[in-house]
Amino acid sequence: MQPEPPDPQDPARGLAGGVEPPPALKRRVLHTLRARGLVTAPVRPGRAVTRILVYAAAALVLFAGGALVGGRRSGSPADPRSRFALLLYEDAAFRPTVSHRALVAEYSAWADSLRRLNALVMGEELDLEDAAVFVRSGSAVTVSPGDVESVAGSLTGLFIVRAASGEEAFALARQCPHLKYGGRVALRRLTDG
Amino acid sequence: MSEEDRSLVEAVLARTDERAFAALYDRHAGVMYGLALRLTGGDAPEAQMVLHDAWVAAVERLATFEWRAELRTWLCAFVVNGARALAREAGRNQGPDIEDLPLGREDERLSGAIARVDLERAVAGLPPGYRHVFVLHDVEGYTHDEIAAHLGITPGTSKSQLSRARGALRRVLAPEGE
Repeated sequence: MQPEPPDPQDPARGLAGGVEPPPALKRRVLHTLRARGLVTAPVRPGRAVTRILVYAAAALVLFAGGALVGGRRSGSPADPRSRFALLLYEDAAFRPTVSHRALVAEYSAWADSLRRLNALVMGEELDLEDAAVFVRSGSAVTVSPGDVESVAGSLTGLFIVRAASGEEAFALARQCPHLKYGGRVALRRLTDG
Repeated sequence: MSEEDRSLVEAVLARTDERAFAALYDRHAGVMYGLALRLTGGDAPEAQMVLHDAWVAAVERLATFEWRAELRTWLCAFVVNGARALAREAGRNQGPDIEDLPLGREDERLSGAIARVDLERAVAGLPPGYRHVFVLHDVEGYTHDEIAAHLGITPGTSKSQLSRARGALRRVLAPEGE
């Protein structure tokens, strides 16, 4: 397909031309291609050490937040059910067979079904824009761009749901559309302080 | 045909080289995004979805590209297909809203001094089917045969939709009182 030469008298031709897409979009495309094994991220020296530090720091933060400081109560006088987090991960096995738009619509429909059951607290897609991992090392805080490396892949979504029991939360997690496309869903009960 | 495109594509195919893909992206994403914006009527979130899905689909099929056309042309075809699928998924009107407008002469392109912002707004207001034909023909310079092949319509339909799109734009862009 070869475009005709532009006609300077035609105002429509004045609309032609490139537009710089937002930088976050490039990161999202790269993330999807990596997850599908179509491109491979360059190896960064020292990454393994960083990974260990990141896991250690994350464990400390979770312990401090949950056990020492005390998390927000799962239930409330009005709703005694516990809150659970469904963490959505994508790795090379995640292969949606529909467009991103259709995927978002499907997840939104599932969230709506949870809302109708009064089981949804919140649900969000997690963007890779501004994703970074912070680690304190000595007196300095080092920042690594991107997501924490995990065998489960990248964390790309989050739902907080209410359920009367662990069994009920398991049943909700099994229905998450993320599983249909090869993604992983990790379930965690929010700590009841 | 760009030798740089060819070497970058070979690196992606042979070594799943992310740096090579990033270079390909930097070379072509601007043109693809501009096209996606025009086809979606300036809807940036939709255009970004189209661009994302276009790149993923293109890389998945990269090994099938035979270098008979420019790589950019081939990549833009994924944008066109994505924008069309998006309009179809959303169940949007592909054209009947202006079906009752009279057909104009097919060679009557828009002319005269029209502010870019006014024209962009007017094009964005066209039903998707008409907008796609107008953008591909009058803005991007595709032929009716090429448009027909991309959009799955006949060249005759492409011509009539273009004519009606131009008529609708003239009506919208006409100065008050005309």
